[in-house]
Amino acid sequence: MITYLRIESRKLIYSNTFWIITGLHALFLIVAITGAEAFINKGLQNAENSSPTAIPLVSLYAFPMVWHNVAYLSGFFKIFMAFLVIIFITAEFSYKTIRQHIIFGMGRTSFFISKFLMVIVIGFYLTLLTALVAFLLGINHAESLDWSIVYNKSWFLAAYFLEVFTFLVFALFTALLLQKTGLSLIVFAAYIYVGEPILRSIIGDPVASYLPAKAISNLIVAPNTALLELIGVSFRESVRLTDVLLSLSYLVLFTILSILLIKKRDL
Amino acid sequence: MEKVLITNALSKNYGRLHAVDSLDFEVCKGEVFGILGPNGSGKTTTLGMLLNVVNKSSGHFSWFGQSPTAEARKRIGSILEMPLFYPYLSGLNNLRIVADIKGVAYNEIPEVLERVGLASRKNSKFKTYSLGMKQRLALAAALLGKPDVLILDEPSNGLDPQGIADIRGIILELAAQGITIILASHLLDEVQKICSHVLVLDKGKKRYSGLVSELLSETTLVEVAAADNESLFQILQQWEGALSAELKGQWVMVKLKSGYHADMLNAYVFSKDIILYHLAAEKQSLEQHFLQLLSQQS
Repeated sequence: MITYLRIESRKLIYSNTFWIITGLHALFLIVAITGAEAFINKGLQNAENSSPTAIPLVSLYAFPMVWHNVAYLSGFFKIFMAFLVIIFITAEFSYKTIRQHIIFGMGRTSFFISKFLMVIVIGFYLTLLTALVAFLLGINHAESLDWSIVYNKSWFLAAYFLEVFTFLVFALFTALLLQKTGLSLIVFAAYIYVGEPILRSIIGDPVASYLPAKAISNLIVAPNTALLELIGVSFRESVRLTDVLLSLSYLVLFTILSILLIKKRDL
Repeated sequence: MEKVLITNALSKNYGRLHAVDSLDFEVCKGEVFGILGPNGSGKTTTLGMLLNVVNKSSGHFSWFGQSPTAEARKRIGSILEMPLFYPYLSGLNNLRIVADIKGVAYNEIPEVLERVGLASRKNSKFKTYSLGMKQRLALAAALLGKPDVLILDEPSNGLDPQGIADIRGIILELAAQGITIILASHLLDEVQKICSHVLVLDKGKKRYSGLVSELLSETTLVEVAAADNESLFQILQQWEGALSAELKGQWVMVKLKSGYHADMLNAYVFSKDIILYHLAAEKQSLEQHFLQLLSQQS
């Protein structure tokens, strides 16, 4: 297993593409999340000027809600890492190096496992990055530190890991299915942002919420804000077991389909 | 003789097309085994099946007397078609990946780089290599882990004469060390210069399998006729000097073993009380043999 990780990490760390995508992801994520509170409050202040009632400002970074808020916002940026996964899987087909792996004596299943391990590592990295951003922002905005409050709701990170992991395995499956870099990127992004939303509006609830992109994003829904409470909208602040089970099912499904693809195809 | 590879009715179909059709052959330890055939005859597909990158449609094969596994493939060094590596990685890093896959220690890498003459360029990115250097890196990768068998697909494709001579030199050197070599080529000349045994493929079918020397030995083809061709044919079939005899229309075609000549054939049939009224001897060139094999339709 260490060998597989060494093989995969060698392919990544010498690649400019890897550093550019990972760097851009981290940059956008940190800038966007750090700036989010000021951005929202500015909007609220503008609204307050033309509003008869006082609108309370939001505080995104207070413990323990910071875990939920940051995990939710961080979820928007997972598409970068999905692209990274797609680019590096399809590269094995365009360089035909997947063929070479088998010829050199790697089993087809082992090839999949090495990619799967890499996806797990990326998932851990994303979770760690999100945890770090949330923790530092929380510390920075806390007047006093009560550790029981700090740790409270940090289990949102576990949900975040499941969210990105399932998402990345979906990307992995798409790449193995289509094999072409450009095609896989377009089809994946188009499905997530256009295809499934349209599909959902056609079939409607409750079936719509069982589709993969929705099921994954349902793990962590938009947090409550004071504003939303004001206008009477309230979102749940927990992770539902049914969503976890649904995501896990997709995880298993994409994994099995990926292994079948690798086993049955001529390379 | 220890059998390294045995195939049994190995077949690959792409839809209705039989790319490889019920192929049987054996390769023994220490042989330099050529697979000869024109482009599209199924050579690469056959090698692809033997290396598990192409799924077989039916039939069986075994490496080292066992069902094929990834572990068995680690004992086989292969170069199929173009050299395939990560263009943005150096030659050395590409070989480290290969070493990790094969479970070979990194300290074997300098040795193979030295052997193929790439040591001085090991830190250059693969994409900066010339085709000859790429081929040599592929050979270095194949040699990592001291394989028992080396598989080469069209090893001289795209190389300049010096590159071809180099790679042939290395192959012969390895063969002399007792490594079994399986080489696919569409060049008769290449097979003739390197191989001891040959399998001739055409449209996925086996046309000939045996010693190269037997395929290529300059045989004499004699065309004879007598009043009773049927008994002439039977007598010639039993003659020790005949490699094969065939009744073809109004003639009997006899292929002579090396060391036998047309006059000896004439004397033999005369001693059997048959008098020829036609005898024409023709020396066959190597190319004719090959082309003749390929033109025989089943």
